Amino acid sequence: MGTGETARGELVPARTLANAGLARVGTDPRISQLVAAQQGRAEGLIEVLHRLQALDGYLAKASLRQVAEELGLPLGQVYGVASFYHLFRLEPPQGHRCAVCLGSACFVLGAAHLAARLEQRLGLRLEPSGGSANGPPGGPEPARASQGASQGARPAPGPGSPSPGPAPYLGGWSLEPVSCLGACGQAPLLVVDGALALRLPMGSPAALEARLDRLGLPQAPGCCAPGAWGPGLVRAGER
Amino acid sequence: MATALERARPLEPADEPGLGRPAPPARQLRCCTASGCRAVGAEPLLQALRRAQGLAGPAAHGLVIQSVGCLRLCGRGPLLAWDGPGGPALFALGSTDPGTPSGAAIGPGPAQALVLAAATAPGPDALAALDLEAGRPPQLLPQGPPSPGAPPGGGGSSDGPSPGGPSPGAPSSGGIGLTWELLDLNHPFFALQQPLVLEHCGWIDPDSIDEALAHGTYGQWLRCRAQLSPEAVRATVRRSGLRGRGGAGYPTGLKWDTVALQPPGPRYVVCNADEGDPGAFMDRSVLEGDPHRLLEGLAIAAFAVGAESGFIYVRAEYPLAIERLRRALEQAHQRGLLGPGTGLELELRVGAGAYVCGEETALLQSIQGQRGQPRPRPPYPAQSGLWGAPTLINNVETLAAVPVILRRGAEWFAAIGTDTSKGTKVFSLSGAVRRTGLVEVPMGTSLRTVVETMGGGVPAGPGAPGGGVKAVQTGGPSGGCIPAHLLDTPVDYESLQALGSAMGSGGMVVVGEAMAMPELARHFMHFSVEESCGKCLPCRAGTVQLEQLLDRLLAGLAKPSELEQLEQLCRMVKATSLCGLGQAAPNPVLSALRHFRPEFLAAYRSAPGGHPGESASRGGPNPVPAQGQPPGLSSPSGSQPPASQAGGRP
Repeated sequence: MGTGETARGELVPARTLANAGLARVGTDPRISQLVAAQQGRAEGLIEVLHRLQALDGYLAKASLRQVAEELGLPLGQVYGVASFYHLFRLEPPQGHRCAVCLGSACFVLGAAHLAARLEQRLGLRLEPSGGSANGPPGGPEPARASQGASQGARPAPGPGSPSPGPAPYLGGWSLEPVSCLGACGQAPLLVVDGALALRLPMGSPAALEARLDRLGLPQAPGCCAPGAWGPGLVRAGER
Repeated sequence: MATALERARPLEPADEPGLGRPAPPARQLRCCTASGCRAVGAEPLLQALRRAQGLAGPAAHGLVIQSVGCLRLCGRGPLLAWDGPGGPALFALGSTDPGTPSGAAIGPGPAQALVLAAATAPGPDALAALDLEAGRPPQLLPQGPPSPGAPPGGGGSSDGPSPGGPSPGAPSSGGIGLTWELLDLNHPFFALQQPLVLEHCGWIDPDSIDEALAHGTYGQWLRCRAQLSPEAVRATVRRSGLRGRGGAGYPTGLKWDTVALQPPGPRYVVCNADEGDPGAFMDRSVLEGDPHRLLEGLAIAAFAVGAESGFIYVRAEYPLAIERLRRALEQAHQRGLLGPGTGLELELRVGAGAYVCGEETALLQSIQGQRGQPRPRPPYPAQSGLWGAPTLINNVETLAAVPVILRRGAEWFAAIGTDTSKGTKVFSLSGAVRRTGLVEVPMGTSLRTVVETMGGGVPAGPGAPGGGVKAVQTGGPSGGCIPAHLLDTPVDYESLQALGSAMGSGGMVVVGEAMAMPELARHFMHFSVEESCGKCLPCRAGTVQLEQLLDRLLAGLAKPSELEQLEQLCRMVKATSLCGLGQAAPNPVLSALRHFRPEFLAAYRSAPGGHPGESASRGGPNPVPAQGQPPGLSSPSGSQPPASQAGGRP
């Protein structure tokens, strides 16, 4: 890479040059522009991260390092902010995303059981989108980028499958909770690859499966074995 | 009684001599394009109608089609309001498949039929009789005659299919029919509303500053600068009795005085638009429906406390609100109403998904680009806030009430509501209730009026054949639930607090008979676990332990002695947490214990007499997680084998 080297010399505040030896492989001119748009002010950090994520889909380790250098902040502080907020993701997103609304209105109409059903169906465990709820394992280094292809959603045990071992991994999908989307009148609801799916029929397992089929959600092997529907899934209060 | 005071239907601006509010065009279709209706295809519907108008020729030229903010009955969206002879009237476009956004399902034929009917119909009934099938493309199967419209003064069944109640027997063939229904504006849901904060919401195009100006917005801001002193403005707000609408209910005038009377130096104003309570969407409706009103309120606040710059902190989950607010800010700058020369610079800051940022000290951190972690108070932000300067923080609804207070006078405003809670309050009604949407009612209106008379109560469903309200959850994760037998409680700050709940920001989630209260309590506790910022121990660890105790209870593993442990821990977390999030996190559990204790006792009794070591190992594939590891949302219910599920159901 190395593009933007000349620009870097003009944009990086002098006091951060001391940190510049930290394994920097190159600077990204787009990031320099984002920082410049905030006049290099540290208070613009969240805005820079928003725009960076809009460009890349997530906040890569190298990008955070460059942001830290150009804003004149310690990397730990930048990582601290990026990992604090739920909407920032530190790992590349999956090809397909299914988000289930867990707002109170959706919950009252059965969203928790919808989420449980999706966990079974996709063979994934529901995880916050940032994938960093527990913080970094050690130090400020953003060190969770190497979990293989299953980033964002770990394979979960398949409770409905006959064997107790981990369910077969389904690549390409992530399953995330989402806070209230404001479509409370249409609860319970999902967002599948950006499209809203409204009023999931929680009163009828067959109708729900049919809807999930129509939405293109794949089935992990064994997820729909007889008995996969626990008694709690058809609970009063869901219609 | 407050409800007997001056009222205006929400869709008809109150008569007000001298305001110069323009009459609506002779024939107009107002399409709600707020988030609720967008979710069911309002945007494609608006485009289809505009295209159809272009194709319809001279017959439809007299019709104005415009995008407006929330039309209130969100559960029936997409909503269209019609102005014309005998109007205004409100219509709901539905679909026979509850999972289909009906706004997106309308074809060019039906859209043209609708536009022509709106341009020519002699009255609402004629428009209601519109046969949408007339020009329907073949893939849209017919679905019987259109509904004749709601009966006047209709009761509980006047809304037809209940919101949120999908029929399991929806057609699986892919055939979708459209329904077109006239809604009854005399129904209590509309008739009991008294729009002050929302007076223009649903009438004006939120993207047009001209319409805002034509409706009088910015008039009070200009008046402040030309005629009033900051002291006079503060005195008016003080006399109005306005209290903070974000939940705490602190007197607004007092807060303004505190900031204004700090030693000379820079000051800031901040609008807290980080509406994070699940089930709350009042502020969003103001931002999406009438953004200029908020800017005016914030500008007046800045004038009153002597601030020259301010911020609006909006949560990132509200993309439409952000977009409309940005546009409104640009327009106001272009017109010279804000920015250079006016003595006030306003800036928008977007959050990044953290509930705790609704807490004022955490919000200030976030505006400054930091982790949103609260700090101890005092010093209060009014003394030391952004960059150490005195900072005024008010909620959206609070600020949006200010222009009308200045316009109509403190006494007029103070005459609405109760002795201690003045004015009106906007509530978002959702959950198992029949009519979901937005209501603005005078303070002191009873919960029963809001939930049953206006909202229509809870319809019958599986597990609750009789229907009926079990409880109303107010105040979100910081509030509590109020049982059905206390529904006559008036809605004001003190009454709700006395019942162990809270006004909160105005989210009202109605809970039906079928919901188990311990499960609802765990839902909110899980929310608090996820959202705890981790700064103070009682909240960080206490909420996790509380959730584990509730997990054990719901999994049928809890010993009766754990009830006392649960209550003790609740009290400890409440008493010792650093900020409002932790202090209020136990409220949903405590209020459920207070009002629905038998459900908890039954769950404890049903548990086997095992001791903790034994029970932990019985968790099967999802054992109770180790401390510090928040359990996955569904670990104890749902994803366990059916066998272990039975004991967990109280």
